[in-house]
This record gives sequence, structure tokens and C-alpha cells, in this order.
Amino acid sequence: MSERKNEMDPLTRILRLSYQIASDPVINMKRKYLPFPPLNRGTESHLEAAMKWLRLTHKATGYRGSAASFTYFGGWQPAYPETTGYIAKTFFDYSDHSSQKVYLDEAITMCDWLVGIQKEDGGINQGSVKDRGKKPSGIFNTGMVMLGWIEAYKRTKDKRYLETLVRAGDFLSGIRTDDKLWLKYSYKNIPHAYHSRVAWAILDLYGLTEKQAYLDAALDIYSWVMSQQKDNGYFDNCCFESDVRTCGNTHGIAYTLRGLLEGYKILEDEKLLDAVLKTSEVVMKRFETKKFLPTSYDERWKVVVKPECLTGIAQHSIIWFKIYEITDDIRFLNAGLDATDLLCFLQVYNSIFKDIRGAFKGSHPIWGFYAPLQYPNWATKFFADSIIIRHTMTENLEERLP
Amino acid sequence: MKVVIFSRYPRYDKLVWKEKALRGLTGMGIKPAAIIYGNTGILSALKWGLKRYGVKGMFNKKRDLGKKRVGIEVKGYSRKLKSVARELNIPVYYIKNHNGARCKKILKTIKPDLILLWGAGIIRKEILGIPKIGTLNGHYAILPKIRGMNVTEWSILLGEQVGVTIHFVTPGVDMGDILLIKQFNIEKGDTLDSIRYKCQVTTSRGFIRVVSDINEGKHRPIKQHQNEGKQYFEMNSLLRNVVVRMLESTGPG
Repeated sequence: MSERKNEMDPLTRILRLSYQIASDPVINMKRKYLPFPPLNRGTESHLEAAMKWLRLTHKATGYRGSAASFTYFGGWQPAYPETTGYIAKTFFDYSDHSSQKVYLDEAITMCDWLVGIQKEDGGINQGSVKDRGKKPSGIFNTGMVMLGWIEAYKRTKDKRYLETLVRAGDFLSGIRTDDKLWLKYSYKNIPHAYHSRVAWAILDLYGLTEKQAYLDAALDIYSWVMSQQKDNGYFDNCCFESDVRTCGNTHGIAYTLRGLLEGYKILEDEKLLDAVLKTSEVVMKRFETKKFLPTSYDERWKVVVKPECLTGIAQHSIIWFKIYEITDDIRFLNAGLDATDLLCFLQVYNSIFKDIRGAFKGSHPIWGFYAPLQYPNWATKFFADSIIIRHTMTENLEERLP
Repeated sequence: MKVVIFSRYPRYDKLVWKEKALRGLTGMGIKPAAIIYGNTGILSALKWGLKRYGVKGMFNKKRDLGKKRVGIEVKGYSRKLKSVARELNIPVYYIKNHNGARCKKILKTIKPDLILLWGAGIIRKEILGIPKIGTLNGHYAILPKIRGMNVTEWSILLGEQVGVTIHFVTPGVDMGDILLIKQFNIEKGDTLDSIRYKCQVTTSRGFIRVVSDINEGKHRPIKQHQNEGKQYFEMNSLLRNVVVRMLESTGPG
């Protein structure tokens, strides 16, 4: 079949969606009644498929950012600066992992494109690249792009990245002094616990510049995020929107935890690690009991939205691997392995259509609440990250064991 | 003392240790008042078999198990527990679920002092509250350190002492008071199956001793504390393979 035929026209998309809708319940039946994990090939081939699809998201925009998603009703979506930023980091890591220079080159192309779309105030706009003229700079969007730039600077020592980073850092730390919760530039103008990930980016920048304002801003955010954690590990203000279904979502919780965890690694502040462990213990137990993680929980850890958010599962698996790395608690390694096995099973691996081959649905089943009927680039990005770290954790495993 | 046994049927009904334990208890004059089988029926067994072994594995697994058991000097399978119960005149009940209304009704009629779990899922609070003394479980690891699932495998992987613990059952996972801990060593040539079999035999003896101690008022329960151990879950196949390799590296018997 020619490459052209492997791309889906609108009618083919409808047919493929119908197939997906019919096959998701079958996937659930397999999970319920057959042995876990239902894997029959190595994780490396799944990683390769995921990375090839991520390259396709880049190609789909003419190498001007990574397309936000492939949707059944709209095809390829415009580039999403926020996720392009952290996808660049994945490309850097995969180029090391696979020794394929093409990923390094594309990561730099992404970072350069992001430099070009930085706004005058130093931030990166909310939403897609098409919203650049319409939407203000976003806190989270800026922070996530910084993660890509920081990696680019560390690898290339190109001063352009550092100058761009300082502008972004000044933007973030500057507005922080006026508005402690960043409400004006925050998504939906509400506070978010997952801004701990922005603190991670600012802290990383502090490591490069030693500018006190960055450290102060990061510490300030961590302090606020920690104050949002309840005794049972749940985080208040972990919502994307005011809708209760987006509160306590596994995706947002994982963002929050990752920010705190990376903060711990830089600052070596045990309080940050304790906070991560408190919540991760709860989420890990819930996942391991049923090998299932819903989209969102309420403040008592009761399920609110049942279909799975695959991004959340991938992100938590990364956190679990990292916790194992830090604490040697092998239960977290086991959970990470289980989660990545599950994700390999849920990846679109064998499709004849290259538009989705190697990708991950927003939700499983595909009609679920989170990013329905589409394949968001960030789900595949976090999956790729989780497999890369899985390989690191399982290499020479026997030597690590007691 | 009135003792009731919870078990599964037809799964795990033909295990040597169950017959030994039942005969042991009866020999001491503590004849169980009833055996209550839960999760009964072909469909339930089929579902379990599929989940555990897969479609192909379901047909191969029995043969493999047989071979492995010969390797650990078990001469064939034991008789069915229900046949032994019939021989000893112990009433047998078949129910769908140990947590269901029918089980509750049977227990309220029998008014047991003790329930022994010889293969049952998670038992709910309201059932646990029925026996006067409590419910006992045989756990295939040393408590309080390793709680949860696949605990024999976890013990080996973590380099911990292998053994079994007889403990009271509470709503928390393996958190009840400990009554007996029995340790044993891994020997050259041991496999996961052979170690599990050792656990079964040790549990069987443990149950007899603990029930006897309780009957004579000699038991001394030891409290567990939440922070003393960790709850483990089903072991991932990658780690299970590590355990198998670890056992293989101990050399042939």
C-alpha cells in the first residue's frame, strides 16, 4: 500500500473510528478474562512505534511544532507549543537511547521554532499556535516549553536558548511578585496545583543562571502546592477547569507530583519527596489492585470518571519508576512495569493507517471523558518517556536487588 | 469449639495439605462443623483458569503442574476435600459467594467459634464479625513484613526469609494479630511450585497447631502495626522471571 493510502480521508476516519468503538469493549474483555500483561513483543518495538508517530506529528505541521493531536473528525490539529516543548525533551532523550541523530535534529528544530513564537512578554501563548494572536501567555505553557529549551541549551550551549529562557523566567518570576497564584495568566484563570511543574522549570533555570528571583519563585510555588495536599494525599486545586470531572484527574495529579519530585531531586528537600510518596502510595495501590486507573477521583479517592486517561497512566508510571530509583521500594518498580505493559497493550500498534500507528487514544475507551475520539501527542510523549526510563530501571536489575 | 472451613470448589479442592489438615483437626477431636465452598461452579472455575493461564495455557498447565509435583515428591493428587468431608460426616455447603446472604444465614445457624480460610477471596467485615473467636488465614510469607499478593515470590526477590504466618483476619490486608510464624529454607533445586508446596504443608500443620492452642486457651496473639510492613501486589512477569532465575542459580538438587 502506498504511503498516501495510509493516510486517512474523512470517510476512512469514520470507518476506523467505528472499528475502534467496536474493538474497545473487546480489549476490555481481554483485560478482564485473560492473563495480565497481555504482551507478546518487547517494549522496544512499542517505543519505536511511538517515536515514529511523534515524528509524524512534527511532519504534519511542516516541522513547525508538533501537531496537538490526530482527531477522527478533524484530522491533524495545529501545533501545540506547550506539548512541543516537552516533546522536544523526549526527542533528545530518545536520540540518546536509540543513537538516532534524526531525533536530536528534530528536537532542535522544535526548540528553534518555539524560540520564534515566544511572545514579547517572554511567555508562550495558551492553546495552539493558531491562538497566538488571540490568547495571552500561559504560565504552564511557558514552563513546559522552558523544559525543552533548557535541554537544548544544556546540549548545544547555544546562547540563544539561554537568552530566551531568561526572558521566560523573568516573565514567570515577575508576574509572581504581583499575583501569587498567577491567576491572570493561568489556564481558565484559576489556581493549579500542577504549576509545580512550572516550578521545576524555573528551578532548573536557576541552576543555569543562579538568579535568586527564580529560586524564590520556585520555592514559593512549591510551598503553595504543598499546602494544597490533604492528609489522604489528594491535592486541592488540581483541576484543569472548574468542572468537577477534571478535578483529581490522574493527568493533573501526575503533573503535580512530577513537579514536586523533580524539585526534590534538585533541592533535596525531603518534604517534597514525602508529599510525592504520600499521594503516589494511594494512586499506586489503586492501580495495582485492579490494573486500572480511572480518569479522575474525588477528594475521598472515589472514582468520578471511570474511563482511563492513558496520559495519566503513563505519567504515573514515570513517577513510580523514579520513586523506585530514589527509594528502592520495589513495589513502585512493579507498578511501573504493570502500567507500561498495560499501555503497550493499549497502543495502536498494528494499524495499517500511519496517522495513528504507534499513537495512544486520549481515553480508553476512545469515547471517554478525557480527549475523546483523538490521539493527543502528549499521551504518546509520556508513554515514550516511561519506556525509556523503564529500560534504564530494568537494566542490570538483578545487581540492584538485595 | 465449632470450626467452619471456607474453601473453593472445584478449584483447589484436591490438595494434599487440605486433606491432611482436615484429618489432623478431626484427629484432635475438633471436627469442623461445616465446609462452605464459595465461587462454586464450572463458569467460575473457567473464568479463573482463563485469567490465570490464558486459552492455550489452560490445557497445558495441568500437565506441567503434575510434572512439577512429581519433582517435589508428592505422590499424585490428594482426594477431594469434599470426599474426605463426606467420609468424616462433615456437612458441606455450596454457595456462590462467601460474602453473600446465604453464607451469612448458614453461619448464623451454625454459630461458629472459628472460621478457617482454606481458599477464599476477601471476606467482608460483616462475615468476619460472626465467629466468636475470629477467622484464621494462612499467609505464605512472614508477617508483618510482607503483606498482600504473590508474597512467596516477593520474599524470594527481596532476599527475605521464606515461611508462613497464621493470623487472624481483619478488614485490613493481612493486618490481623499473628498467631504462628514458621520459617523454612530454600534448598537447592527448589522451584516456585516446590516452595509453594512447602508453604501449603507448613500452613496445614500450622492450622492444626493454632486451632489446638486456641482450643486449649494457650494462644498468644501478637499485634501488627500498619508501618511495620508493606503491601505487595501481583508480581509483574519481568520480576517473576528474575525470581525464577534466582532459584535456578541455587543449582540443581
